[in-house]
Amino acid sequence: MRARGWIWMALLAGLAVFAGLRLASGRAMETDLLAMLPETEKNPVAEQAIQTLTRTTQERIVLLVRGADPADSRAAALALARDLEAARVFQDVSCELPPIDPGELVRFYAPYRYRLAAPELPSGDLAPAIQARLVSPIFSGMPPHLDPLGAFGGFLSSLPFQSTGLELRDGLLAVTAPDGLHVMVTAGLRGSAFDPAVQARSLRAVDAAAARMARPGRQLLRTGVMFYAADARLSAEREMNLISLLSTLGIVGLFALTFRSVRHLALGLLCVAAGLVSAVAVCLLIFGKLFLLTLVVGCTVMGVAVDYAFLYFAHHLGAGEAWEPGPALRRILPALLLGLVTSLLGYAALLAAPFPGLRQIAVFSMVALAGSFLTVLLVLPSRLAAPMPPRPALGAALARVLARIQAWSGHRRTPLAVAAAVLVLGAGASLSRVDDDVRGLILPSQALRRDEARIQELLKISTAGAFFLVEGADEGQVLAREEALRARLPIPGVAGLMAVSAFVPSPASQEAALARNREVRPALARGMLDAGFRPEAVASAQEALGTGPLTVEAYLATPFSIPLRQFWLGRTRHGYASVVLPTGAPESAALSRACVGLPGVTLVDKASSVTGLLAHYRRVAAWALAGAVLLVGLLLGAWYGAATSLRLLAPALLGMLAALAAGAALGFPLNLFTIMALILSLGLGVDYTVFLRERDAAGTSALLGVVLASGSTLISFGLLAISHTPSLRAFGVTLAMAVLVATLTSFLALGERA
Amino acid sequence: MRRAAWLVLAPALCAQTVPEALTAHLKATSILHADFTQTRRLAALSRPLKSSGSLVVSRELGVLWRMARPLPLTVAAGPKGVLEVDGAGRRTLRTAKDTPMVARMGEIMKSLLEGRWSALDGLFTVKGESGKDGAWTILLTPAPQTAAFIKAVRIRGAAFIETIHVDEPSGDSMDLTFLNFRPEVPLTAEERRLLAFE
Repeated sequence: MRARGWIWMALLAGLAVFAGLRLASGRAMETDLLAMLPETEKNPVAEQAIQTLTRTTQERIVLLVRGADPADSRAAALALARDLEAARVFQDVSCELPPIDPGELVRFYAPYRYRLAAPELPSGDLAPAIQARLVSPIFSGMPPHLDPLGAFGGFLSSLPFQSTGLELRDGLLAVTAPDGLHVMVTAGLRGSAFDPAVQARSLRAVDAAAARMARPGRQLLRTGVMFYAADARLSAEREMNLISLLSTLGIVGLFALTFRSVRHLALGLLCVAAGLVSAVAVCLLIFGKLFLLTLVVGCTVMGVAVDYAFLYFAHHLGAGEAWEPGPALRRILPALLLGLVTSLLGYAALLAAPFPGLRQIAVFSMVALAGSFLTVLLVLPSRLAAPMPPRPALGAALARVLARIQAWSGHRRTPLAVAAAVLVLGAGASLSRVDDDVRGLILPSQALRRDEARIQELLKISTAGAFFLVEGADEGQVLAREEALRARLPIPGVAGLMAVSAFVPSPASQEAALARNREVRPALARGMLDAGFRPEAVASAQEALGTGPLTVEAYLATPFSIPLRQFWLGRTRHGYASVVLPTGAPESAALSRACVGLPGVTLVDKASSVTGLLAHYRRVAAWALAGAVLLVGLLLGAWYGAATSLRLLAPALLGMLAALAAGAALGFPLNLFTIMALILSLGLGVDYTVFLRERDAAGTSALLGVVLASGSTLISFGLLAISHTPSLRAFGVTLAMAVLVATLTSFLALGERA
Repeated sequence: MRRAAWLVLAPALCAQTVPEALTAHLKATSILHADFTQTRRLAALSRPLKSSGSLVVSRELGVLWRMARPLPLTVAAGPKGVLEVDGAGRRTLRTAKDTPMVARMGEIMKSLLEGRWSALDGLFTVKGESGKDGAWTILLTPAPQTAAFIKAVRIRGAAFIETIHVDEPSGDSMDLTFLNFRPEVPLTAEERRLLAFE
């Protein structure tokens, strides 16, 4: 017994050192929220596209500077860019954009011009149209006899360089809005947006530069993955610290009130610490990194992990002089074990979904409970050999409460009251609304969201992250399929589609333009002669129809392809693929309608895919909950008989109903997280009922144990109400509510002792 | 660029030119109506192509160029883009947002309308000579990136810009003559509409 206790303690110490070293290295935290979400795409190329796009966008921050007037906007933006540059923490700071050199465009496209555009021949006499081109002041890019109707010039000027709200103003990228001129400054991070050190450096630089730039009438909007990641990490850390501090205080308070002994307190905290240390270490071993969400939820596990210690100590207190550690443990072991198994089963249900975040939370919680349980089993008996000084006052008080409860539970009106409560709560619960939105998991600061919404509105760039994935057997097919998609414009809410095919027509379009140019040649030559061109100039215009074909590779090598380079995914495991990005404020539904019936085109919308998955898991979880209720009911029925098993199950069910009704009243949606809370509450609720049922003659120690255990659970889960993450808040409050009502009604269900 | 050059330079009609010494007689007006004749000499053409019409330069809104001969064609160019309307009423709008070249032109034009010749920095080097009776000549020599389209630009004027001569690398050239200056005549509703691209 003792030896095993020491071995366990040594193992714990080892785990603690391992976890401490990993946490201290600063590399143990995963602040990338996407990493927590499940893979949504069945198509591996789509996942690859998501990764590629998020990588490139993650590495930049976007700032929009507005001054009192346009000149002030410019000055402020340049000052900000200068300061950011001087801070030397960014790869690059760009504010001024090198203007696109028209000469370069002409030089690049001219050799392919007959494949890019063909003139529309007006009916009748061509000469006036050709003369109009000749005297028009509009840029053509080619000598007039080589582009007499300006078809090539038209192609050049129709290239969609900026389908966003941005425009070039004196070499700066800016947006004109009713409230003034916003100038864009972007900076590339030196390192990952999720690296705390990078975050700290970059945030310091931005804050300092913003403070120096600040004047009345000036405004700075900021957005970027880095800001969100830093905000999520800091608020998770804040919440974690606060919740763990308050949880600890609550547990310490319960100990102080009940046991008034430093030894019990120390041992209780040892059990909790053992649970947490083993959970952190095992999760690091299995997953490599801890999600922020896991740590926040992990703090609440404290309240459950301390249960076993409480139940054991309550026994210690109740046994008085007759205390024998070994036999005592053997007596309550079945109830403890049953409690552990039901809780582990509840958490194990979370492992079913391929959802990294949930799986980690489940593993963390299960290991924490098991670690705490093992500590109770292996360490407590040998540390608590001496009986406890009796607390007659407490014992008497508990006995009085117990008697009162039994009187109530025998009262003939109690079933009526319960039935009425069921009706009322059922009516409340039926008002629950379903909301699976993934954003419930991620709530950045309001200020960041406001900034992002404003920036999206100004730049007409959607950061919702929806895009089209276009796949084909070869480069040409991808381009042709992009063109088919672009032909679907206008799409509601879409300002434009950023696509490589706008700059490189598909081979099919190139061939068609070439054929058309061949066809109109004779007529064009006649028109040119009529318009006053010399015969030799017309003859020289009958040159070979240029080189061919224009390839994506050639385009990607030009400096003006930079904005679109990340959109060309090139060779994939299926062939070739590209990304087409809608700009504006598109709605997911409109986008998915837009690509109906287009082969090789898929809409990739991570946020709504994850939301869809969460909805799917919610339905699965609801069935799992029903199954768990049935299973536990059958188990209890086999053990106690049908009538008793119903009495034992009823409190947990009533707790769930109450939690649903409370959730509906507080505006919590019904989703995967609230259903998870219900599944866990079933385990806990049944635990307490069974523990009360299995009480000894006096029954007071079991009552005390259950009051303490449920009290600590309530404290720690109830504390999630302070979390800023809506899903966590709903989870915590639902669970606390269910446990509270289940515990209270389990006293009513006491009935006769087994 | 080649032919767009003069359209961009048209604002100089009512701009304060640099070098400062020359601008003494250049009238700064906010709205200027004038007529123009344009002669293009192209190697590819058997005879010079003459065109004529009127134009309006508004410091606030941009340039409206209305060709009457050899056929009707209207071009409205402002900081936001370029609108072309042919004789049949067909409209082609190119906004600065979509087209970097138009954006670039719009920027230069806007600066010239505000009287900042510095907008031509990086495109041309500007040299001026003064003649007698307040007359002056400005020579624009293209920077490397412009040299592919334009060899040289010569602008002459006194109270207003009177002629613009553009030489192209191919040996082609263009002469623009402005006459019948009507300063500060308010814009008609139609002119306003065209300049607003409506």
